[in-house]
Amino acid sequence: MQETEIYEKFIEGDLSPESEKKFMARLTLNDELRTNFRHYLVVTNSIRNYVENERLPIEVSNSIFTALGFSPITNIPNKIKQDKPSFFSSRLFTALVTGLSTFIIAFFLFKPNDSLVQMKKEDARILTQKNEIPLVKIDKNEDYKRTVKGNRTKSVLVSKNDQNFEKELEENKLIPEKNQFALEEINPSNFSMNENNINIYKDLGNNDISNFKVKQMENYSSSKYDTLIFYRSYDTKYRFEFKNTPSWFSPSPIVQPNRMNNFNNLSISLLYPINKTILLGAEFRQETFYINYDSKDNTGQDYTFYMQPNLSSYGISIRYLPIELCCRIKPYGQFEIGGNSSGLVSREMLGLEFLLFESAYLTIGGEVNQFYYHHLNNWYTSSKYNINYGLGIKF
Amino acid sequence: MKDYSKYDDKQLIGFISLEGKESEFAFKEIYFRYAKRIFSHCNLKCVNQDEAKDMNQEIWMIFFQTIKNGKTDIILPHYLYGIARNIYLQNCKKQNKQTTLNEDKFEIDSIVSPYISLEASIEEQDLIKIIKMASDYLNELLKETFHLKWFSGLTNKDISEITGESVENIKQRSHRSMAKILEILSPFIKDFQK
Repeated sequence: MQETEIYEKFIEGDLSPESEKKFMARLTLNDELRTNFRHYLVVTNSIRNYVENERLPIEVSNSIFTALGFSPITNIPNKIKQDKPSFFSSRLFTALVTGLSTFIIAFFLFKPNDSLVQMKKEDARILTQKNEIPLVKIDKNEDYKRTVKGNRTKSVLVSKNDQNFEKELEENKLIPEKNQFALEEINPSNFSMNENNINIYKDLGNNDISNFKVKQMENYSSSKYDTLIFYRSYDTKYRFEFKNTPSWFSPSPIVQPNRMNNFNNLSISLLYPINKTILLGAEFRQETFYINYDSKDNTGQDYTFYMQPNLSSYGISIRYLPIELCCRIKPYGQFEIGGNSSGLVSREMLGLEFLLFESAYLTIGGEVNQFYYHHLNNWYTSSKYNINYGLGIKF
Repeated sequence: MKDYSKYDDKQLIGFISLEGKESEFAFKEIYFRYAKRIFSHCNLKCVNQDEAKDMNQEIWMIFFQTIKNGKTDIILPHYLYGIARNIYLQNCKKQNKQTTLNEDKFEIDSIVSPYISLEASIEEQDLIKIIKMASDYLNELLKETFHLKWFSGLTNKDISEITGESVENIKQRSHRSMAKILEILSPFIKDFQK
């Protein structure tokens, strides 16, 4: 066996343990062998580095393409056939694990015990709820217009205690006169009122206490009730969201930007609920799209363009949250349209919101993006897929 | 547009045999998979880059034309190296070089490129250039094996399929070529390391 064969087997770990020991012993004792082995390593490493860093001149490729009648390209990808990374080392796996693990940990950390929890705060009792957190109250002696955290209210229910609640609602009364602002925000088709009475025909929400009909109201007697509950039919707070949006392109890119935008794939957005189930929002996102199209240059020469530009996109979105699942989770669908310096962008997303506190939630979802761009009066499209995950703050 | 990177060589060769844009995109996908290695191989085979470019272009034209002529049972990258080998031998014949791929008739002087000299100042050369120069002092068979194995990253089995030699022969040649390169380079590497 030649020495170089032993070197090669040694480096690749193909020597038997016994042969390896022998080789190591010889290396220790034999200066000439040691020098020769070092030279072998220098030569093989130099060749490897050279091969890895060698570039293919653009004119070499374009001369072949034009000779074959193909369109030349403007940027030659330095590409070697490589094994595809396994699923477990892919960005998809990393994003899924990061997003879902955060979601699951938060779910268990912030899971409340009951659907309705009573807390005492000084002399006021606050009814909170597991899913919606829409319940606010005032003490009997306070002005009922004011809610605990200054939230707007949509309707009014009265309760003396939580047991036999339905019965009590039938028997007890609401006071409408100073609460016009709140009642006006209920959809007019869902209630009628006159000077002394109010009828609410519809469920007030998706929780236990909302299924009661309040048929009649008379003048409010504060001595009779120890708690007023203002039921907010939807959350009226602004939302700020900060999300990571790792992307996968279709088709796979063969060119990469020399340098990515700062905060690439991060997005910030501001949303406001216009009713119980619909939010309108605006978003800013740093991103790239992979674009690949056949066109011509200004002289009429055919070209295939491969690019992955850095883009700063702005958009307006509409989010629909039709239902609330158990455990403070709300599924949603979202559509967004926007643009950047190179074209138009549209996005469709399905996701989940998980409420951590009244003012904070996590969001995770999958998104499909389309990029519409034009070159020499022709429009082209490109797609990518995102996993979006991040934090939302209500204020 | 299809994502051609998802297809293997055999499927792409099938697309190339078709007409239209599909053929072009498939060819480009194959091209970018192997172009760097093939061009590097041409550079090693030729005395200057213009020749290497011509040889490289010829390889790809023959490859494309072969598929268009209906031959699709092609294994890559062996087939491309095979074309390169044939072109090289034809060029040698044209230039009346006494090059044969027969080990017994090997003579160093017959294939050493005349413009290369190891006596060039090594201060002006980096190690890789010296390795290339040293490889030109090898027997043609050893040189070919050395280039294919180390510069093109092929396995002994790949090389045996390209050259039609047994794997064992290629293995022996591969080690002999490296041993000779080390022998030639030994004094230069010492200088280089200093």
